Amino acid sequence: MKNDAPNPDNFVRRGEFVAKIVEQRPLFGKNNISLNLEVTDKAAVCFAKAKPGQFVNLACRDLNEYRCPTPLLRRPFSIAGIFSDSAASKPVSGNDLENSSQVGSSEKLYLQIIYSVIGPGTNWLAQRNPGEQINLLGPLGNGFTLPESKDAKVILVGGGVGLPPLYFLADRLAGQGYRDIVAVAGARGREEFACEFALDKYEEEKPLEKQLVLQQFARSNTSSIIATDDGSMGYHGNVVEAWREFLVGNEGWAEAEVFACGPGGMLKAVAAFAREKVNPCQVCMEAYMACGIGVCQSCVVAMKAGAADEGESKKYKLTCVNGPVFDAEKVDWNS
Amino acid sequence: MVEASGKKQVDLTVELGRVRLANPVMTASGTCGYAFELKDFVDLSRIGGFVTKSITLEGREGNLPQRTFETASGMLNSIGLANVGLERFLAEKVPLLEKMTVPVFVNVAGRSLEDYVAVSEKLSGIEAISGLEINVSCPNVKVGGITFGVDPAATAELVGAIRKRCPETYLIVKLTPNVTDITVTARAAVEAGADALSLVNTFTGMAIDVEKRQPVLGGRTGGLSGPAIRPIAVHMVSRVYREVAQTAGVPIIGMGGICCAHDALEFIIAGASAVAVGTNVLVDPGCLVRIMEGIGDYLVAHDMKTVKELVGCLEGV
Ligand SMILES: Cc1cc2nc3c(=O)[nH]c(=O)nc-3n(C[C@H](O)[C@H](O)[C@H](O)COP(=O)(O)OP(=O)(O)OC[C@H]3O[C@@H](n4cnc5c(N)ncnc54)[C@H](O)[C@@H]3O)c2cc1C
Ligand SMILES: Cc1cc2nc3c(=O)[nH]c(=O)nc-3n(C[C@H](O)[C@H](O)[C@H](O)COP(=O)(O)O)c2cc1C
Ligand code: FES
Repeated sequence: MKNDAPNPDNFVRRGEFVAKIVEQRPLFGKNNISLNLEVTDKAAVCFAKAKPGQFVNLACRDLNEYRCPTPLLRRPFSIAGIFSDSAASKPVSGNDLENSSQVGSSEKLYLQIIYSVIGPGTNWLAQRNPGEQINLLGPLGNGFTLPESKDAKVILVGGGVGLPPLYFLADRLAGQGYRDIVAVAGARGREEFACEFALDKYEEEKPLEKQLVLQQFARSNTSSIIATDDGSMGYHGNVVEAWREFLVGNEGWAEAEVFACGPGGMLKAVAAFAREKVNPCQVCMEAYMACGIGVCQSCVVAMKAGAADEGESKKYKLTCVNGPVFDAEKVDWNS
Repeated sequence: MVEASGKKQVDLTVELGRVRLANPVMTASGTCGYAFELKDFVDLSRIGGFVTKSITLEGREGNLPQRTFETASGMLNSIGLANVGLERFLAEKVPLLEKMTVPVFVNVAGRSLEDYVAVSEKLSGIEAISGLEINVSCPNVKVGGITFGVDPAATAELVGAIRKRCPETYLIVKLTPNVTDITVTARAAVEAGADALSLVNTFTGMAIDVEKRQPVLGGRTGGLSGPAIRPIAVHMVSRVYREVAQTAGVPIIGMGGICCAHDALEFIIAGASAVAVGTNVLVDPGCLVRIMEGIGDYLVAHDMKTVKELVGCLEGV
């Protein structure tokens, strides 16, 4: 007999699953890879309901190898897209999110993960071949809340490996009928983008004009503005500067809802600019995680006084269960 | 209770003194939340016993991040006993624990002897709670922050004081390994009235960011856990069993780096009546059930009928 959950919602939304690698494809930037995973049965039912901003915690090793369990802990990765076909061309729209029959128990779904190879876990991942299996926990975390009005203007701001969850968000927004979406995508230099580019279509001399150049956004017909810190591609500057410049001449975008993901310093600057523009802003944050499922208390992020009151702590929220998406106004950016 | 493993049936029940577990595999404090946090990842009705995270008198926010760090075959943590505190635990978590179908043990921590006694008293006599696990690895703020559990006299005084005010309560004393001779503190705990001993807690350690020349962890030092500590933990269980627990008839709950049935069997053969899994639950919650099944398979393969036959059967020491 299963323990009765104290939670009245007995529907299974997450779990431990085994996924099969369908494809590993090198992306434009050095050491950036797109991983396409097939999930079936209960996993497919859970992931059909996954929200942009949610993540998976991947075992980057054989969990049955006990003598030398390296790396010991799982590694968290954002979901970069969920598709109903193995070619990753048909995003799951989320239109029938509350209708659990959308994905039957015999169906398959395909998850995209986009990662940057930087250490032992991601090196192990990069060496896996199609057909091999990977153990994962997911979908984890809360996910973004979509704007109430489909007429809302939406600005997606992403940097480095903060871009992947925004690809999934753009898919979902488009699938739900939002029309006015623009992405501001940044990296240190042109070699560091975790994406693919349609370079033949890119008008380099117009960096502040939104263009269908970044493929993972273009797949949902979302155009983007490219910015690099070193000026090696697109606008020479950071994403906030690019966004500020874009608003000059695009005053219609001054009132927008902002969704951001990237390194802590970038998110802090995004939150400050969103506040200046009185734009509602949700940020998808990173923290060092050990479990990813709310039991170890590793992944705390400090909240402003009064903003964490409903949780288990007055000061902190857990990135892995209360986040990774937070209202930028609630985060204590000075801690 | 009997777990079928293959065709043969084996008896996995263990008696930790007056508390009976359906099987020897428990969760370790601080790695499984307050109650049902792990329910989507493991069937909690199939474990031997559930141990909550440490509860203190007042709620604690815990240490500054970064709070954990992966090391070679292990991890450091400096969570800082973050928890909601006794009052909210009683109001919000105990009602959840009432729904647990396996024995529940609440881990108790404190900053002073009075704190421990107050928390233990309030948690005694609650039906959903089978016993308390006293985490003696906390600094005593009244005597310059010296950890209770490293001093045999302080351990005895603390356990004695809880025992006096909670005469009926089942008490597990969780020993710290950060001592010269763990049998001395084990004996102190037993003589002061412990019903069972659990060992080990984490080993104090530090990791340094060489670029910043600062400790990696916000709490500066942290507790080392995981496979890296297992051989030391097994040795400590073996010594405590032979030198203290066996003659005193006090059961041991062994832990430290257990990932699979093989690891659990090491502890049981060394003298543990039950085992607990911490770090590996963070990685692979389902391992709790697989370890239990694997112990059953081992008994079948070795023509044994009960797990009790294995406890402390280590030869050649
Ligand atoms: C919610 C979440 C979503 C993420 N999504 C993505 C993603 O979509 N694509 C991607 O490439 N990466 C993502 N990351 C970061 C990713 O988890 C790390 O890059 C990965 O753990 C590195 O593992 P490694 O063993 O290769 O390197 P390690 O040697 O473990 O780490 C290399 C560097 O990364 C840092 N690091 C390790 N773990 C984390 C962590 N949990 N958060 C932040 N930094 C870390 C280390 O401090 C070190 O500096 C995400 C992290 C979080 C918390
Ligand atoms: C993240 C983490 C938090 C822990 N919190 C507690 C705690 O609150 N109280 C306690 O007595 N032990 C705590 N421990 C120690 C474990 O219960 C266990 O004794 C130790 O980690 C050794 O077992 P392991 O190697 O299987 O993890 C914690 C360990 C970890 C890894
Ligand atoms: S990573 Fe363990 S609680 Fe968030």
